[in-house]
Amino acid sequence: MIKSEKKDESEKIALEEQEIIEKKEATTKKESVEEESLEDKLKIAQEKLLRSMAETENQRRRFEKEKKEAFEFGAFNFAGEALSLIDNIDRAIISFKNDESLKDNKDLEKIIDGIEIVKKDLISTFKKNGIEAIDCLNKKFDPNFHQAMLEIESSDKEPGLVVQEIQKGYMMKDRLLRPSLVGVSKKINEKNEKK
Amino acid sequence: MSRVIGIDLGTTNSCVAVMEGTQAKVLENAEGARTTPSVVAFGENEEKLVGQSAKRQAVTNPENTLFAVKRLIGRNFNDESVQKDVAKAPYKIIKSDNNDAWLEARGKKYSPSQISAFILQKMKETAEKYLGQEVKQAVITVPAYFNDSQRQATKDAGKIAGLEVLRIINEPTAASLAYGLDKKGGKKIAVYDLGGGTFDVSILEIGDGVFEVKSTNGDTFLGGEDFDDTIVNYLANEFKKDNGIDLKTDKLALQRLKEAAEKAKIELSSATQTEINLPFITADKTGPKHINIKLTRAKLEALVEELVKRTLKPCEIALKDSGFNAAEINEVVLVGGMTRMPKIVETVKTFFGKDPNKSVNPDEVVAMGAAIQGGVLQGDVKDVLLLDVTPLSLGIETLGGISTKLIEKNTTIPTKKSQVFSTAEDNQPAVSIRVLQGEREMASDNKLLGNFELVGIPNAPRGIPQIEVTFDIDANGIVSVSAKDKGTGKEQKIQIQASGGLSDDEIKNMVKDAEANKEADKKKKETVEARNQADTIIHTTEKNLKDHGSKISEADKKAIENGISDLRNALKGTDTEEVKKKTQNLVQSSMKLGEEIYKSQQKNSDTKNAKTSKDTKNNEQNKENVVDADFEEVKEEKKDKDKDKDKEKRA
Repeated sequence: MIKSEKKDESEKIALEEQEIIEKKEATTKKESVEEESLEDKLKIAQEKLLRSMAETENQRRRFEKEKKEAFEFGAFNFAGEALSLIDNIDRAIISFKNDESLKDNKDLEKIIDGIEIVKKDLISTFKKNGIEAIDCLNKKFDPNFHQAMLEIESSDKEPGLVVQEIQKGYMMKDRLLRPSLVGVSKKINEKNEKK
Repeated sequence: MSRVIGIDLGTTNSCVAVMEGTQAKVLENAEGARTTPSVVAFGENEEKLVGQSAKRQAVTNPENTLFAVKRLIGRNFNDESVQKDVAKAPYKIIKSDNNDAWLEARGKKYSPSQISAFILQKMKETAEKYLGQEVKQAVITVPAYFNDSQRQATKDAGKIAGLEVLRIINEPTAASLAYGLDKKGGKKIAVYDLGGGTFDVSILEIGDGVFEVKSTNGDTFLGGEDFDDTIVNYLANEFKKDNGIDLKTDKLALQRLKEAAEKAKIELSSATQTEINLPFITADKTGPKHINIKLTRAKLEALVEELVKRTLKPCEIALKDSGFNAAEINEVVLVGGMTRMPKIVETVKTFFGKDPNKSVNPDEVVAMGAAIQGGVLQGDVKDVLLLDVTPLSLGIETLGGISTKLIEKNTTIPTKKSQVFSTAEDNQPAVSIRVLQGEREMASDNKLLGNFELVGIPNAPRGIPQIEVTFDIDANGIVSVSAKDKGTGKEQKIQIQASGGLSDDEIKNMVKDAEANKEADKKKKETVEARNQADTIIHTTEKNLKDHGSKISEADKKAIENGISDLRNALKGTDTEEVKKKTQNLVQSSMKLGEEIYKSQQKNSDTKNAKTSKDTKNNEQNKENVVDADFEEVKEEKKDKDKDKDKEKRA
């Protein structure tokens, strides 16, 4: 019962809201034709011509801009996915450094050095293409560049600061490629009212 | 000239589009994204965030980050669904003075219309940045089941955002407009909308350009995110089984899992299997742990089977309520990113018994439909839609029986295009213009629309006269073809009715034919062009020998003469490769002659007559638009000359 009422209501509204487009246009057209003289028609036609010429110009301008942006940011998606390469190289290095069984291995440093060189090269290549890491630690939390993953109580740090970088964020030229995943400081025992 | 924009104001995401000519175009926001999260947040210092940035700080500010406000707009505080949200939402939902559901953030009270207005404002700004002008009017979409109060509240949101809302239209209606279903007449349409957070199915009927909603149903808590969660749970559970660690407690691991799950889901819509690779996802005493799992489409479909099934019940009910049965439904439209999944398409197809419309981007189709409605209301779209296109290419016949296109198929008319051609023979007195319609490479495979001649071309070496051929199509599709001798100013023209009785099907077949014969046609054309080139080389080399033969040695002269007769022999046969080879040989051997001619040319500046093989080569590269026209005898007038040569095209 309630459902069919609702349906009728929305049907009615749908009908009311949906005007008969063709009929409306037909009536307005008829009215205007009766009043138009040749001069009026010419004026209207001239104005339409100017308008479409102007619009063509505007379109051209917009397409030029789009083309430029498409070119500049064409690698945006690929760049976003390629960031995980740097992520994982970092993780590999950390994992090696923390590995108990490798601790006493004299060659560990050699291996890590080798990997660091590749990492440096990767970062440099990214930089050349306008991709740079976001420096976020101890900066004020800015949702335009950082994504808050958790809050961390801190007695000595001001609230609303980035105190932990969970994953590095990157910019591509002036666009955000990937936000920094961060932990944000908060006052100890901050009020948590929930309903 | 202000433009009417179309806005899809969604529960989780919003999208804005505008008409660009005949096409609706979705606009990117300041962050370069084509959709904007429908989230508004209030920061500490009176700052207001809208969209992705609001989403990113949700964890630090849950009570003042407002999302899914669409669930509250135009509703009474005591509504059952509102009460459900009151319990679930991390932000405060309160009762206004007249019992409406309102929100409270940072001590201030807001109506859902006000919050939605902030989102609409951002969409407005996105459009203004793109168009470079102020935007004052919009068409906004709402679910088909919205009642009067909800529609009015949405309209109010527009007003608060500074937009005159010309029309509120239903989301399924907008989707149907985007597919042009309103033009097909007398249709029963089912719209299956599986978005990020909600599922809606609507049955519509169109008559006389009016859309009527027959029934609606759905599941307000079923969407793409649920599919992602299923994959995340699968991955986490498999990992726990193998490694005894629960990844869901690790925020970063969970984030990575979510991203990988969504990516895998998307990839499996086009590939049958994908690899989920998450190195160093976590670590324990034994060392680092990695995820490297292959996920097949079949496995994914098994995992989400229950979710997909859940969408069928609402479809059944909606169909029943509409009074139609599945067989009566003429068109099915898919909306929402999740409908890209092949299993969903298949399920929908099986249920309704027909192929769904899915060619338009399902995330954007509603906004595009709103933009189309906006364009119609503005008046421009109707004008533009009145513009026709020429369905098949138009051109003329050139040397070797080739069809040279002047106007490409699907060019919007009215239009005008000119190209300069020339003669194929020395002292050719006239050119014959054969107007062709069709996509084939060879003139004989296309339709001859008409032909005429331009006579009185003064004597001149081949390739010198400039004959400008112009195609002019008016808004009614009437083609005027003219040929003008730029030297004498003499002109001839004819008028043809271009579509001349070709039905849509005939046109489609012609285009299909051309595709099927593309390779064969290309070869034919190459053969003809090779022969034309050979012809030209022989002609010009002979001429040069006559004029300048004295400048080179007897041996060189003999070599060239041999080259010419070799090539002539090759032309007698049908081996195109042979012709090409002999042409090259002749070109090589006449290089010396060319050098001498060039040297003597440098002394006198008369460039008009000198036609060496070198020059010819240069001409072929430089004279882009000059094509040799031919003279074709009109059958009745059998005159003295038996010129049967065709037009030659120089690259």
